[in-house]
Parts: sequence; C-alpha cells; structure tokens
Amino acid sequence: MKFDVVGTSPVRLDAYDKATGKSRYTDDEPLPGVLYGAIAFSPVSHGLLKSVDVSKAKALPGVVKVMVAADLGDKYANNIGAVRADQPLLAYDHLRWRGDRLAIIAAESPEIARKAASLVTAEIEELPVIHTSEEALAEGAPKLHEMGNLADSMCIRHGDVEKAFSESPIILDNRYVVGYQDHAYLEPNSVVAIPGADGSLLLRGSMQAPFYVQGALAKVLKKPMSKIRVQQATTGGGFGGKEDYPNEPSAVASVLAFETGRPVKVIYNREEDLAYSTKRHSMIIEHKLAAKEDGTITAIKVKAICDAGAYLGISSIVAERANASATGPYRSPNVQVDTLVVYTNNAFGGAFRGFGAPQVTFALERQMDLLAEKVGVDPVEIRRRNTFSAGEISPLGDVVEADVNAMRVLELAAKKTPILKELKKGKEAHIKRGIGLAAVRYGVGLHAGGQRLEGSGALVQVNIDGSVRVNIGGAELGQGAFTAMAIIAAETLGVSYGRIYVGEADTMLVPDSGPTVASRTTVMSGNAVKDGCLIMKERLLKCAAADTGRKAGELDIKGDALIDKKSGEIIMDFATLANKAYCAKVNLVANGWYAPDRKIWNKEVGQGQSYTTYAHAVMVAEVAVDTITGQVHVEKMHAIHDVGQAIHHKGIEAQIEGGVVQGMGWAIMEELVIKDGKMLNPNFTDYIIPTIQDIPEIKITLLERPYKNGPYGAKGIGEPSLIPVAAAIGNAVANALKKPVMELPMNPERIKLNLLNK
Amino acid sequence: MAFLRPQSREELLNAIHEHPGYIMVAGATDVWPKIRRGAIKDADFIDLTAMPRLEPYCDAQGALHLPGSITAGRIAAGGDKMCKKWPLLVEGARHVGSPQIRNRATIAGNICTASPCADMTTGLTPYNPEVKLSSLAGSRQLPLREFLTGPGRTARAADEWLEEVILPLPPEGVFSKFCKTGRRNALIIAVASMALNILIKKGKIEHIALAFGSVAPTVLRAQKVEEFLLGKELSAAIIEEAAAIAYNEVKPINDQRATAEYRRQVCRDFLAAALEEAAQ
Repeated sequence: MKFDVVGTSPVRLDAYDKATGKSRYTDDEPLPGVLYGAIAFSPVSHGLLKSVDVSKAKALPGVVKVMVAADLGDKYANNIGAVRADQPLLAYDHLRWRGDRLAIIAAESPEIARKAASLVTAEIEELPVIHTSEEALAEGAPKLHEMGNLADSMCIRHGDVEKAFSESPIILDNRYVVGYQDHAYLEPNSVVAIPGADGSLLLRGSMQAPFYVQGALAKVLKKPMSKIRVQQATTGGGFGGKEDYPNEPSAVASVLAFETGRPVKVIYNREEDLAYSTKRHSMIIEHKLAAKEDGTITAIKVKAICDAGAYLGISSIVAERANASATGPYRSPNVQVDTLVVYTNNAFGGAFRGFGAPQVTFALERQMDLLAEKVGVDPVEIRRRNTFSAGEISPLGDVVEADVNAMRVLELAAKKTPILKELKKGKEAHIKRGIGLAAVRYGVGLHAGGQRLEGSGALVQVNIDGSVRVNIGGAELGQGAFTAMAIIAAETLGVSYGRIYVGEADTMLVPDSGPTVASRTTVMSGNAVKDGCLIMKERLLKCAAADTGRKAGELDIKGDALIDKKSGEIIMDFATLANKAYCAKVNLVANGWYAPDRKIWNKEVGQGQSYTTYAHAVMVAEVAVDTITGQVHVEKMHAIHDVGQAIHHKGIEAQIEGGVVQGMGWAIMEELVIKDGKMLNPNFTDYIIPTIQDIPEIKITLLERPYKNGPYGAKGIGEPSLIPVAAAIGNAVANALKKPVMELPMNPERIKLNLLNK
Repeated sequence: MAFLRPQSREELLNAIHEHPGYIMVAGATDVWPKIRRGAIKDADFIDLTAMPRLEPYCDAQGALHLPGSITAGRIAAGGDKMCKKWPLLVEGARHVGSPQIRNRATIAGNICTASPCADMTTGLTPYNPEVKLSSLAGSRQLPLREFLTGPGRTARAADEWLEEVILPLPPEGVFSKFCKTGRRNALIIAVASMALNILIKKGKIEHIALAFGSVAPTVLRAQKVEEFLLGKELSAAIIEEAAAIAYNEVKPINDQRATAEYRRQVCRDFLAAALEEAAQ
C-alpha cells in the first residue's frame, strides 16, 4: 500500500518542547493559592496501629490541614483498591507495608508539608514480617487479609500434562527466580487537585489512565463521575507505573483540596516514588517441560507465583497476562499453568511494560535452550520444531490466526543475526563471549478478561481555518502516541501532518477509552481517530459535492486540497473547504469509536480467545562476560519485530531501543534491595539503571505485514520490545559461561558466584 | 547560613582561621547530596571557586604538583605528561561520576571526603603522594596514607586547607593497571577497585605499589602483598600466592551494594590478572 504520511518519520509533535525544556509538567504549573500535600508513611512493614499522634504536625506553622483515617468520616470512602476493596486511603488497625499512609498533610510549602509528615508519630505493635511469597503461603503464616495470603489465582487447563510427563523421554524441571524492577521514569508521581465552587473537581497530573483516576476519585469522594474531570498533564514517562498508582496521590490531593477549599499539589520526591509506587512483580516460576527425543514439546506445566505486596492493586490483571504468556509461540498439546498472586509485606507489584510476560518468558526461553542442548540441536532449530502455525489450536485454546508471524520472525533471526555462526574468540582470557535468542508472542491490547475496557474514542474537530484538532482517550507518555495519532489523522483526512494538533487526554472530551497500556493505543485509539476522520471526511465531501455540483464519489481530499479523483484537478484548498462546510452548517466535530470484536473466553480453564491479535518478536543478544568481576556487557542486540505496518518509522525504532535498554537494565543491573519489607536503595545512587555508556549496538529488523484490523495495518510495539530482552541476554550468558542461569538480575555478584560454583 | 567567598590565598587562610567550623566547598558534588538528605544541616560555607585558578606543574625532581582545585575532568582529559607518567591518576579521574560531576569535582574534595571508594584517591595512592596543608601558621606536607585516617576522617586540622597534591615521579618503565567493578560502566560507586604500579627488571620485581578501593575503611595500601612480591620473580605459583594474600589483606564489609566475599574475590582476581599481564 502506498501512503502519504503513514510510515514516514515526521518530527514528533512534542519533540521541540521537551528537548528545550518548554514542556510544562504538573510541578511546573503555576497556580495561585496552591497548597502542597505530603504523606506520613508507615514506619513499619507489618503491625497493628494503635494510635496516630499528629499534634506536633498540626502545630507546625504553615500547616493547613492534617488528616488521619478517622477524619475521613462518612464524607469520604476509605478505599483506594483498584480492583478489590482491600486498600485503605488512610491506614487504620492493620499496617501491611511501608506504603500505608498514617496521615496526610496540606501545607503552604512542600518543605513544611514534609517536615510535618516527619513529625507524625504512631503507637504500633509490630508483627512478624512476611518476606517472600512462599513464606506467605506456608502454613501458619500471619494473615495479611481476612481471606488469607493467596490474593488470586488463574490457570490454563489444556490436555493432560501428567500423562504426557509419564510418557515423555525428556523432562526439564527447573525453578526460576526473577526480581523487581522500578519504572525509573523521569517525572515522579505528580498531581494537582483543583476544587470547584460547585463541588466539582478538576484533577490534573502525570498519569496513563485518566479514566481510572476519575473512577477512583468518584468512589473516594462519593461524588458522581460527572463532577470529576481528569486531565493528563504532560507526563514524564509511565511504563505502566502510572496505570493505577496515580489513583493514590490523586485521592490524597483531592480530599485535601476539598477539606481546605484550595488547590493541592502532591509531588513525590524520588525516594518516595521509588519506595512506594508500584513495581514489576518479583516472581518464582516453577517450569516443567516434557518433550520427545526430537525435541517436540509434549507438555508444559508452570507454576508462577507473583509477589503482589500488601494489596491486590491490579496484580490480578498482570498475572492474567503472565498466565497467558507462559507457553509463548510454541505448540504443546498438554498445558497446565497456575499463576498465583500472593500478599506479602514487600514492594507493591503492579503494571510494568510487558505486564507479567517478561518473567515467564525468561523461564520459558531458558527452558527452550536447555531443551535444545538436551536434544543436540541449535536454538533456532528447537524453536522451529515447536513454533505453531496458522490454524493450529494454541495452548490458550484458540485457533492460531491466519496471518501469524511467529515463524517468520524466527527465520529472519536465523538469517539476519549471527545466532547460528561460530563466535569469534576475543583476545582477553578473562572475557567470555556468548550469544542467545528469545522469542515472544505478545497479545496486543487487553486480555479477554478486561475486554470491557477496550473500546476507544476520539474527537476530531475541523476549524474554519483548516486546522484540525484531535483528542483521544489514550495518553501521551513519551511513547509518541499523539504523533502516531496525528499521522493517522493526516493520512485519513488527506491533509498534511502539520495541520493536526493533538490535545491532552481529558475525561470531558472523549468517552472512557480504557487505560494507555498493553501496547494498545496505536491500534485502539488509532482506529478511533481513523473512524472519526472518515466521518468528518464524508461530511466534508458531501458538502463539497453540493457546493461544486459534482458527485461526492468523484471527489477526494489529498495534499491539503479538495481534488477531482480522476483528473487530480485541485478544486479548492482545505481551509476553503472547511470554511464552506462551516457556512453550510456542517457539524465539524466528529466522534470516532473503535472496539474490537467480543472475545469468547472461559476463565475456569483459561481457554478461549485471549487477545485481539498478536505481535511476534525475536531478539538475539551478544554478550561479553568478565569473569573477574562477573559483569555482563551486552555488546549487541538484534531485534526482529512483527509490527504490522509502521506508522512512524523512527518512533518504532526508538520504542525498540528503549525496550532493549530497559529490559537490559532489569536483566543485569536493576535490583530492589528489600530488607524486612523496607526498600534500602530508594535512590538513583544505589538503584542502578543503565546509562548511555551501557547501551549496546541495537540492530533492528522490521517485518511489515499489515494487520487487517489495525489502523493502516499497525500493531503495538511498546511491550514486545522489552519482553524477550532478559531472556535473550540470559541465554547468551548461559551460552558464554556454559552454566545454568536461573535468576534475574544477572548482577556481577550473582555471575561471579555462578562462575565459582562447580 | 554564612557564605564566604575569599578571593585570594590570604583571604582564605584568614577565613578558615576565623571560622574553622565552616565547610569548604569547591565543586560541591558531595556537599549537595548531603544537604539534600539532611546529613548536613544549618552549615556555613567557604566557597573556594573565586580563588585564583592555579595550574599543575612539575618541580626540579620531576614530581607533579596538582593544585587542590584541579577538577577530575581536567585530570581525566589527561595532558601528555599526566597520561604518560601518572596513568593511574588519569584512569582514576576518568572513573569519577559522570561528565557533569567530573567537571565540578576537585581532587582536594575527592581526597578530603575520605571515602574508601574515591576513584581518584585510589588511582593516586600507588604514587606515594603527599598533600600540602596550609594555614595561617604555615604549610606542612603529609603522606596521603597518614592523611586518610578513616571513612570520612582525615588528619586535616579545622583551619587547614588542602592546597596541593604532590606526586613523585614513578620509576622509569613501570607497568600500571587500574581496575574497577560496579553494576554499570559509568556513574557508579566502586564496589571494589585496584590501582597497581609494578616494575620488573631482569625478571625480578624491583618496585611495587598496590592500592585497593572500597574494601577497607580507607583506600588501602596492600603492604602485605607488596612485601611478599618485592624482589620476587613472577610465576604462576607466586601470582596465585600473592592473590591469596590480597584476598586476606583487604577488609571489606557486606553492604547493600555487594558482599564482602564478592569484594575479596574480585580483588584477588584483579591482582592475579594484572600480574599475569605485567609478567608478559
């Protein structure tokens, strides 16, 4: 297909403002009369709260309001749980982790507010701390909630695994342990609540799911949603970390705003953000795989235990994707997956780019390499023998889509990367080199379990000067969503990219479009924009037909002008057309909408149509391991991605580069040090993320085969670019050391220990 | 808060004489984080950045005199003489923080902060450097190893200013090696580091100076290893033995960055690899 704008790489809409520091983030917004919120967090990881003393905080000059749980009274609901009502906004009785709030404070300056928070004291009876999910599930463990510590579970039941295990000659039974990861976005959690005189509220902030915030605030404030308007301010990164967590600072700010009658900003500092915002789940994955002599998989049995922390948050939804990703792009006639979500006193598990998939992918792809070794074939061949193709029944119980690209990306990897080539020996004796591959099958959009949230809206407004304004329900987190929307709008309307302005996400402008997660925005919001633009174009052409006396079917808009389709004759420019339409009383605002088909799915056995479509990727990592220090240096990363149709080429490359670097950080260096529930390294001196000096050479290959239901054929890219990274690096390290790699992160100490183990 | 900004050496010495409790700052790369996390509260400062800018020079004996105000960035950029004759100094400076930090952080600050993981200090140590301390009463010179008395502690009197660092000329033909480990390639606090100078003549070790960072209360001069190796011929067995001595001589602790055991292993293997390289 030939496009005018799609597939080009225009300068991003936000590039100039962000690069020059002009962008205005929540903390930058000038606001007369604003107060600053602060939170007194729990000083213990587990305990019984007897009383809270806020007298000293209240006495501090400049403090305007201090509230504890009892002060919420009947006016507010003390519940901020995203999925389950298990999480209070302000703690009472039971303290379950260090992120529990003893008191919230509004003061004239952030310094006074924090000082007041530090003056809050509490009488607490400490309880034994639950350190791991396995400890939580052990008999006699202290219960964190009435229901016990097993917060949720989901499964896949497909065939008969036990029978297959008893009949298969090869069995690989291993345990993998993977650590937490922080999103390390540049902008910490930041919101501002502005109370209206009529009891309405405007909440602006750094977030990726304004509709979640709106829903959460309606509950806490006991107000109709119609009175709560949420706008996404310019947001300095999210990566999943701002999916549901912003509900919490938003509720704190809003309650304080109504109590004081003044706007309240809640801006976390880095330490607070690192310690109390959500994290990629730490998981324990028991992975048992059976195969025939030739390496054909006969059964996969997985038990994945996710450490949710003290509250459910959206861990169930993350676990759902982990559950559905446990078998990857491979056929297995017998599958049993059990994914457990467990309460502990640790960090708060939540959404993070990949959403449970990177963890299980690491386990699965390590198993595939071990299987290859056992069978005596190369890593490509073992996957070739097991990758399913169109029309087969997948382990998830659905029919593999006709345009499945799993094998295509694998063959591209075999051809385009050195995975099958002999490694060159380096000069230095203490450097060991290795290469490794990992594959992913990523379900684009929300899982069937969450499909009610999938519908997405767009607002398309043509002005009489020919400029076009677009709003979507999706958010711009830095991923380039708004730029992609502008491209789709320009392509559909037949105007130039520069005409399109995409405004911030706002619950008042666009219907609830679900969260900006699951690599879904390009597909869902993109289709909504296309829909809105097509409606608009039809109106404009109809008006033009009446105006020119031609048939609408003979007209088109292209290159910023109304043209005659056949001859290409330019009839009038776009602004003239827009003005004419206005004078002819044409409605120049159109609402676009897109919702994928309903998916049939059976939760009891985890079988059915799990996702709308799938994006496939294979990554190949080349590593050098320093056997003296145990440091892993990722030298080169090859990324092969099935993207449907690229909407913005450079944007896709940037997403992939970012995914590689963030995935690499998790794989080899990032680590939350948690002792008795307390994070010991809540700062960037000790929570180590990659710098420019660690970034490998990244070679990107795009497989562009348009997806039939994507806008101009596009699929999602945000998460597939991260999911296989750690697995590929893990396989490369194992290949370099000729030793098993069972744990993440592969930090220098762990590798050194591994080297010394005989 | 008082903030003094002396314009000359004389003004400075008077200022610290009158206000020995004030904190001297130049790059402020350590002071700022300390203020921010509350480790320094209600302090008064003497800012050194308005003083005349001094240049490094070599004296008649060939020793290198570095003004305390020279930045890590300036040292890291080398300059022929420094690169050739004091490569460990340059290497150490290159490992300090990030470009932004190196452009502000001074060598005097790096030494006076007295952190066992200070990369420049580790790099300096094998040269047997001395520090020149000046006050109204006059100047004195002290070997660096006597100056550093513990983590965050030095022999500097409250009214003394670290004016100069003096590095004697190392012996001709010396082999130098700087190694460091941490979780990433830059902007990383050393988990363990090593700086080695060794001169082998006619097969025998004629000179050796070995320092380890991040494995003791101060940057450590590994005297036991040095004593063992001096005068010996390097062989596989000797290297192994020396490495084992290093393993025991370093006195690391467990902290959230790494375990003591890992640090010992790395020091041992750093030394073994460096000695093997030197023997070739």
